[in-house]
Amino acid sequence: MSDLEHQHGSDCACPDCGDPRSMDFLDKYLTVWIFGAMALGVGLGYITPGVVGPIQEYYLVEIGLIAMMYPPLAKVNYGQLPRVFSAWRVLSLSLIQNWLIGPTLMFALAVVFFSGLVPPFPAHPEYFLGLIFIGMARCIAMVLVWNDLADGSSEYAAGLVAFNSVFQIITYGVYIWFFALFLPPLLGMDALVAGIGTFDITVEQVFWAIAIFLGIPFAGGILTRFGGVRTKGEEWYEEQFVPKISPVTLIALLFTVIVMFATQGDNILAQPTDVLWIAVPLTIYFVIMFLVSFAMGRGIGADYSTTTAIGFTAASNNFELAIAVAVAVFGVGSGVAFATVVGPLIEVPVLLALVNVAIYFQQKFDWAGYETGQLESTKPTGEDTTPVKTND
Amino acid sequence: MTLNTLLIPTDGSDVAQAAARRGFDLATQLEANVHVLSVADSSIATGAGYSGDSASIRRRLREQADVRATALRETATARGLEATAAVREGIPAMEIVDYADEHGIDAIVIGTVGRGGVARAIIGSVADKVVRTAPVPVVTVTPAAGETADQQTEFDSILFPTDGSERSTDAIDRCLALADALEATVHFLTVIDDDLAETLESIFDTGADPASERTEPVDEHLETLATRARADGHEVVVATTSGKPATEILEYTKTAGIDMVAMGTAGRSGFERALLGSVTDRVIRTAPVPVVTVRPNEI
Repeated sequence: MSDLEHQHGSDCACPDCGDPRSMDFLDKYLTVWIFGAMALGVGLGYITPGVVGPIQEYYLVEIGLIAMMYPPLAKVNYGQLPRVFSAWRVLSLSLIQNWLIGPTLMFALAVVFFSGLVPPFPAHPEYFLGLIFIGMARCIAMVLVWNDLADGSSEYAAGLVAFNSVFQIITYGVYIWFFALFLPPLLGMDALVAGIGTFDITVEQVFWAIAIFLGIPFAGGILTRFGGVRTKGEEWYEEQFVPKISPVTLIALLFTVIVMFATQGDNILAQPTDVLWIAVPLTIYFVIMFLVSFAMGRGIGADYSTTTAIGFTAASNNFELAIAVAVAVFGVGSGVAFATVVGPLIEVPVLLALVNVAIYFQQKFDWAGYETGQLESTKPTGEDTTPVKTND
Repeated sequence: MTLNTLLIPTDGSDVAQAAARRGFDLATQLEANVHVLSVADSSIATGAGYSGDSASIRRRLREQADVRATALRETATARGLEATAAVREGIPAMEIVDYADEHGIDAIVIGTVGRGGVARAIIGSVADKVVRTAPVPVVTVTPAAGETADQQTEFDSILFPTDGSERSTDAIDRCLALADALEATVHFLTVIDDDLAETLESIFDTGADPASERTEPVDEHLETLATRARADGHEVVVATTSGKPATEILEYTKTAGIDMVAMGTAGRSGFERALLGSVTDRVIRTAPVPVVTVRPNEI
């Protein structure tokens, strides 16, 4: 084991105080929490249908959405940004994946499955928009978890998440406008245009929703970071404050899901297969994005840990942002909002599977060059959990 | 200031590796031992997922820090240095400064990418925070200063820019020991800030002949410094130029073949500095040689 001086702790890498690599409780059972919230919502709507009235009257949903968006934007890791900018080839790969291929692929999938242009699929404008809202929202803090499980570079992933978090402030509205409002009529999606027409949404509404539900949390995040670091120190902010606010995202997300299902539980119970219909294009999206990232990463000769970080940032999405804007624009009971909730519902099983695929690739191609510690299975020391060192 | 123990932090980046090489050069010439330190940045772990912390990521970052520190220690040992490796977890700049405090470190050698202005005010820089908070002198190494291919690795001359202020004289007093230990030639340079002088004159209209009025006290000050340094056995060169201080300091460094610059820090930070800047700051970010800085004594 390490003969270096270090601070011991409960999760220390020493044999004495070691802890297996694992997911944290809250993250690991995300699917369970979401299902639970759905069931609770449906039950609530069935027993006391009137409960939603006061919730909407006091803007509790909107407050919840802002609370949901605030933590990821308060914990943006600006310190890791330079690492992202230090390798231009890798950065351009990430940019192309996140901001060109990703949105285009999601748009294509939405067209195939929900536009009504491709038989035998019927037009489903609400789900079409739901997919677009998800596809344009780039990765979130959960990426760091997937990336870690697949032995990707945590530092690089943190940098990419920071970059995307800041970049989306500028781009999300533009992308939504382009892919949801501008492009469909050009492609002759008359059914869809009619569908969107019935919602009566305008570009202004979308931009306002983004300004409020992305802008306010972002400004709040910046203010608390500078205020917190200045008054109580960086250590307090990163070690005390950030862990405390992080679960707020999940709580607010579950609250939104409960209200959503209390409002439209009947509709969903009438068509339970719709969840599957939305899950299919989303799963295809995750898998394709992931595979393309890996192929491109290997193509430009990036190391495994960096490629993995790019793969997961490209394959995952900021579902919270999609949900917030969908709810804000179309209402909590809309099919658009419902479609966006399927994202976090299937995220855990699908991405856990992709984690295993990543590790399989690493072994199959004997993909070296990683500096983030090695895979358990490829460690020359076998069962030993000692970190492999270049020397000693 | 005796320099027996140098601390060389690394985050695995090219900039840090280059800085470490210069740090080893310095340690070799000083016959000092080195501590190499790699910090696992805990803010990455607390930013992950819904839980706000990840034991797994913490562990990975520590493993990585372990690999980096161990590898760098091997490099130091291979160069014949007595080296200790250490890993800490937390906010990098704070851990580096704490470590220096706890282990009787005499100076820190750290790489800097040379980011300035608003980008630094927002992103921050580890080197920058260390310079502003370290209890000991800090040697910053820019990527340019880290390239040793076409320059000699010995530190034979140290430039001490001085503006006659208490702060710069204090920095000189504390850094002369370094020149002593390195047996380096001491250069004292004063830059007469043309812009500043002209601005002041246009406001107050002193009507004095600008050039001679200003150089007289400067020459006196430089002579005092030189006499004192020579009395202590230093080989001394004095010079005066005019222009923008930071630019002139860098220019002199190149033309006189200076190997290291020694300065005091102003201690400004955040947006105040992003707007006002400081001479030391610019020199740290752009110097083609390592820059040693000391904080004002009273802090």
